[in-house]
Amino acid sequence: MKPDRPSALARFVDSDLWWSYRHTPVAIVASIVTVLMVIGSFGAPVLAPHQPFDLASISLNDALLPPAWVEGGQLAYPLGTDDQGRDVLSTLLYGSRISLLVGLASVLLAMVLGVTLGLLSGYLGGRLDAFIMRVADVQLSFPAILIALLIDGVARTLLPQGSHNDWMAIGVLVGSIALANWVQYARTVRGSTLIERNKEYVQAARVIGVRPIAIMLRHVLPNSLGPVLVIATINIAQAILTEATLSFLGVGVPPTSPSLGTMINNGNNFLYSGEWWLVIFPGAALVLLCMSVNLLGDWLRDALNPRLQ
Amino acid sequence: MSDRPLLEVRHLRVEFPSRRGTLVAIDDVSLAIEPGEVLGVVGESGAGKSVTGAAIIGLIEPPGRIAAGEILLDGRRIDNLPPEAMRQVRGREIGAVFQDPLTSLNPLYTVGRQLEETIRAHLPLDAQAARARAIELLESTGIPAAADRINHYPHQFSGGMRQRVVIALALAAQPRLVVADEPTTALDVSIQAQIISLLKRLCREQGTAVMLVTHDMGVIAETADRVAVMYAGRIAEIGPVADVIHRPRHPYTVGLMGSIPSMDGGQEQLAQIDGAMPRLNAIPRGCAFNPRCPQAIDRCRTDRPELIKAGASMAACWLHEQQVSA
Amino acid sequence: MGFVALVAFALFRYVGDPVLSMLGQDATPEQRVQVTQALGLDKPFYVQFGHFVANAIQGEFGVSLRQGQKVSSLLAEKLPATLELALTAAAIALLVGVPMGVYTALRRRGVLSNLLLALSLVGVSLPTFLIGILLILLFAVLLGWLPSYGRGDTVMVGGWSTGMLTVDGWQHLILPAITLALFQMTLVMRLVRSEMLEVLRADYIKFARARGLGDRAIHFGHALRNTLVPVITIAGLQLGGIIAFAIVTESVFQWPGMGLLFIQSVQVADIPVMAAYLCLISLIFVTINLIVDLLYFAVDPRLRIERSAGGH
Repeated sequence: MKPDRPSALARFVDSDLWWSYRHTPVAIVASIVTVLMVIGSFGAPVLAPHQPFDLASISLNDALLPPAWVEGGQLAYPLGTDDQGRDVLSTLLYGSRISLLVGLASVLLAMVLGVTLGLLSGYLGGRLDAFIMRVADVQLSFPAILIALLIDGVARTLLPQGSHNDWMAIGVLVGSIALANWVQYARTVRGSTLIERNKEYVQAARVIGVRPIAIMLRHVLPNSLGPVLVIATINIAQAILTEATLSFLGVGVPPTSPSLGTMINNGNNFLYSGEWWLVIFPGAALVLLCMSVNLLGDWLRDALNPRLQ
Repeated sequence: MSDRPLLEVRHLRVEFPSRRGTLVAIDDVSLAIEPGEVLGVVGESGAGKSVTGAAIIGLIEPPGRIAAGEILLDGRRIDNLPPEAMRQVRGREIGAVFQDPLTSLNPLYTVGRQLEETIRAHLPLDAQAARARAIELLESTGIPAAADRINHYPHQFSGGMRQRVVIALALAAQPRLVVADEPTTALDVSIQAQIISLLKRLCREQGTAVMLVTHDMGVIAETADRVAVMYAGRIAEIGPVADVIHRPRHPYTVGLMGSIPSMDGGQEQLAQIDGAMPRLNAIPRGCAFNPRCPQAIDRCRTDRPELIKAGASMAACWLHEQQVSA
Repeated sequence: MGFVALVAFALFRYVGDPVLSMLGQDATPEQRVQVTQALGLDKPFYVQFGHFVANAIQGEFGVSLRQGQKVSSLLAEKLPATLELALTAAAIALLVGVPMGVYTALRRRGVLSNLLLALSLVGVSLPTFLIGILLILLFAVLLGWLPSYGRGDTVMVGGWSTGMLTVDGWQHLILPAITLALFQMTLVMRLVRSEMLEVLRADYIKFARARGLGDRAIHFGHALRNTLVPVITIAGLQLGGIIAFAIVTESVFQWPGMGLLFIQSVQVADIPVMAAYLCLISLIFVTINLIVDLLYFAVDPRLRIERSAGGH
């Protein structure tokens, strides 16, 4: 190791990426919003003014109250309440937490799955490669939502009715979204692997006897990380939307841990009778979250694109 | 022979604003091209040759811009023309040939269509006449069975043939000057000579001047009448080809000529110039070449030299200042 | 296709217990045995698969577990509704998305361009169902201009029920079609824009400019043509996406199409319908891919059979 190499932090601060970040106001705003929402939702148990899932703390008397600034609203329920008397703001925070959780987890899973399969496929080649790519091709022509629906639906019926518990249902949901999205990662990583594999340093390593896994992990992987990261960021918003859609359709998260999608589904029933806040607020939160993540993803992609220098 | 040069570039400066400040690609470049002559422009990558060519055709991509200086075609300024006027200059008065013939042609259109649209953009010919002229052009560049091949797509031609098509396109409207930017670099060595001689012949026939940008001195020696040597965005030396090659005045040119292997010399090792051309954002004060120059004097480090007459050429070097007063 | 059929069949046979579903929990063992034999469930795997495929090819998918109707006739009923919706949405997405994409690529710095781009960002972040709900809120509830659900009056044209021949039918079609189209439209716009920007950077564009060709010839002659080629494949995939997202739109608008049928079947684990939908969808996708390949072939001369290239 060279002793005079600056620390990773120092290099980052000096890098183009940081420069680009500081000078792109949109990226800064987007990341602030994202961070705020993440903190808000994961800190829900602490930050939420009410506990919407504690049955003892809600009262039907307070049902269907409008937001605080509208006539009839109360300050204690800043964004109004739903038909069960639950505070919308608190439900929103908890709901965002679920949405974010599912979104992040499924992207992570998809990334791990896709990257692994891509590495194996590219490096080992042969029948494994052909098979994986064939599956990928077939899957690519299907929209993610369809696949997620399918897997979710199948899993539902596979699991015996009684043993349906929350975490399992969420796990299945995460799994199905991940399975719907792994292909892009696999393809990208496979492409990089194929390129790197033929480079001389890899061949040299093989001659020396370094194990394939070590080669793949230490050399090939870092080179593919850039594009993978960009895909992941864009994917997060997609995953969140997929989850929201599935929940809206009633086949997503279980009703006991509602996500933003579930909230919108519920709120839909009251929209036409004038209780707009039950749909608008979760909807706005959803859109805001996705937009900031998308903006971040866009900025990242442009910043990492060598051709736009 | 008119008394006025066909093309004059005066004190041209091209800047590229970037994330890290403004890069000056060429600085105070002046040259002239007489009607019908071939001016070679040599230099290393990054020396500014292509930028000069692009500036002349008016194709500097924003945010790059011409920050100072003038470009005159036949005494008329063309660097500050409105876009539509400049468009009419391009193709009709100044043509261009670029390096890679494969990417210069649109793969989705036939060669004939690309020729015809160029012809009709500049000359008032109807479709039939344009087509006939297109076939003529192809024939003149040595493409066999031109009447058939005119309906072929670019990918159906080999590299050398494609470049012939490109030349045909550049000369379609009979411009008076052609800027050729590395026209043979992407071709096989065996084809290079053919293309260069084709270019030379056609231009001589039509009286077209050529600005031949390349890093290949051999091509220059064969083809050019005069040559300009560029270094770090400036002209180091400019003069008649034989003079610059055999009696180089600027230390950089001396180094360049010395580093070309010759068939008859008994060199053991290729002579090298120490160091490397400075990056555009780190050009030394005074003469850009001074850190690497074996003959640098004090003045070289402080004052940037102008082009000074030295023998039959001009060199941007203080060493020749004495001659002026002599 | 074979792969999909296999999956569908596996679904069909192994997921859940069809016998149980059909007979309910209280069936006696004898009844179970009877039905099992009648359904051929005790035969070996490949025989069952063979039956499945044979039946499938004839369009016979058995009976819906929930609705008690033959699956194939159910699907046939709902197909026109979905197709009309999908095709209308696709048309909107392309007819609006492509020009907008071209515009924002050509006028990179205009105010309208940036506005469209910002809106497109919002469009990509909006889930389809939310768009649907908001549209209903605005146009049906608040403004009362358009109906909020269902398909309206339909006319049977030789076995195909169409809503396009009646004004009422069109009124019902507009909102769902726009909802479905919006997401795809923004995708198309961004795609066309980025493709066109790439193309505009190409050498042949630079050379065309150097030849003195005008903006119009360059933008609409060269750049556009080259941009549209990769866009064709994407357009094909779009159609697939639209058909899938139709599921959501149909739910929101209670549009009686295949998507609504599918989601209902997922909710109640109606396997035959799910399996049949899957097969049908994959058939549609395969067809679309085929058409796209053919189109690509027709448009890009490099893919056609080469005549002999000349010498030097």
